[in-house]
Amino acid sequence: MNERKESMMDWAELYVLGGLNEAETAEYEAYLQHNAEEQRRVAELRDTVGMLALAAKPAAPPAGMKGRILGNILGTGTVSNSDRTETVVEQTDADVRSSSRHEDRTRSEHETEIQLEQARQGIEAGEARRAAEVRTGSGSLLAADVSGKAQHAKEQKTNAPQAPEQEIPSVGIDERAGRKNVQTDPVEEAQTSRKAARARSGRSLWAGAAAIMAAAAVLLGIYSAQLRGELNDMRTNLTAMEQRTSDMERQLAMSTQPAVGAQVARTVPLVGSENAPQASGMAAMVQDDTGTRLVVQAEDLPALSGSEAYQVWLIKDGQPINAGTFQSGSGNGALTYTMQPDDYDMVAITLEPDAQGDQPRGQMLLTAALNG
Amino acid sequence: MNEQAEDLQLIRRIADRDAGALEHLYDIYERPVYAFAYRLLNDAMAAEEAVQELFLRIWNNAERYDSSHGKLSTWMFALARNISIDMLRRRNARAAAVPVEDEQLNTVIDETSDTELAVERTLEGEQIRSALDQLGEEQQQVIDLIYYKGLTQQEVSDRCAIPLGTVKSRVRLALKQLHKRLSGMERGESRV
Repeated sequence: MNERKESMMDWAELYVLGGLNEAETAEYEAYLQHNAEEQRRVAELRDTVGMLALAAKPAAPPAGMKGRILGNILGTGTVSNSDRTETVVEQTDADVRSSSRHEDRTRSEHETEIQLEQARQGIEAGEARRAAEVRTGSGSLLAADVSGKAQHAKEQKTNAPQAPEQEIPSVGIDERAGRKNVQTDPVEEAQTSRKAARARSGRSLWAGAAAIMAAAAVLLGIYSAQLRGELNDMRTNLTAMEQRTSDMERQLAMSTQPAVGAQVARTVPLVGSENAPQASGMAAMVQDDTGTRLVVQAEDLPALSGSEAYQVWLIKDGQPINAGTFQSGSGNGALTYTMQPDDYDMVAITLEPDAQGDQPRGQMLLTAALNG
Repeated sequence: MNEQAEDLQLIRRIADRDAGALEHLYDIYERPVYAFAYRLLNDAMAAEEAVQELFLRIWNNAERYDSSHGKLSTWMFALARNISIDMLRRRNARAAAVPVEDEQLNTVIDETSDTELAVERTLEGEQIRSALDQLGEEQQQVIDLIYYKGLTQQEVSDRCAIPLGTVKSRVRLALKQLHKRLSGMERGESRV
């Protein structure tokens, strides 16, 4: 036991310096609790070891570090009594913000999809109309159109002429039935009467047929007017869709056109880190009708060797977003990146072992705070 | 009011959730703490992350500081070291084949060769570096591997192929000499 205690006393320096593993640390701390003299010795050693931290060469903190750190710590819930709750609240807020951003993006993507679908339908409708006009004119549009109303109207149109043909025999039968009641007269009278009846029956037949056909003609006229109205409505819709298509095409074309009146939202100087104190550069965020672009330019970067590359990062909440890699033999270079507009904390350039990484692996060369 | 009493008052205000006190503490310690984290991690982004974690822990656990266990700066640097060494170990676990050994052995010597940049350094930093430089090479090595690289005595013993007892005795001797050379500073005026 005494040997163990002596061994523990040997541990004071290792304990304070941080050279004991977890089990040894726990064992030593248990021993320390009951040994006031050892506690004094450890306190003395602690201050000596604490000073070793100051042996570190001076290193300038990155620009805007204070704002980021205190902002992150004090950002929310500064009056909360429960630290853990506060952290959770911060995370939840962040999650909500992130989720809300995601929803906004999803909504905007959904709207774009709807617009594209409308444009596609517009183009298809336009093609159908042109094809119909080439064939037989506007009448064929009915056949090409799948509208329920138009189909219904077409069915009405084809049914309408059949009506008189069905009506005429039924009227004839009624007439003949009526005449049968008076066929109890003498034969001649009956014959004369039969002829007259036949003649009346013929006139009534034609008169009825004419009336029905006139009615049918009026109905057809009404249907025709309705169809013309519907046709006009469809043409109006088609024009609107063609307009929308042309808007979309114009927007697509704009993305390949030179920017007009682009706004430089932000320009920050890039500052060389300890790894590249001589390096300098500039980062700008440029906005135009087609989106936001990050433009980064750097010079006097340390020379690359082998497959090494410079990589640009946008950093938000400690998470680096790959904004692209570039290589240059002269140590000077530039890069553009079409970025999601957001409140980024920092833009940075690192020296990476190759141009394929999506997480920083190499040394920091240049940084600039974006939220300062 | 002396600096230790001032630090104590500051940490009590932080324990009472005084954001202004945290900012004041941050202003005092930002540079030395960042330089220390950068020295351990050799990465600006990771060092900033470590500094943030340090001040977050101080903000959340200021009441745990016990002045009878040493100066506030000692407590803060010990916390900063724990955070940074944890990060270093996670990083090394991810990249298992990190060739750290050569760098480690050269680190202290590199600092010696930078003495012409003394103008940029604080007086304390210079004195401590000077005290470190005066240690024997073997003592510098164990201090570097344990304190700055986060190795345990067993890991140092394995890596340097020296008995565990030798690791202990080198550490003891190194700290004894450092204490002797730095004891004047510990009683000195400077806060950090």
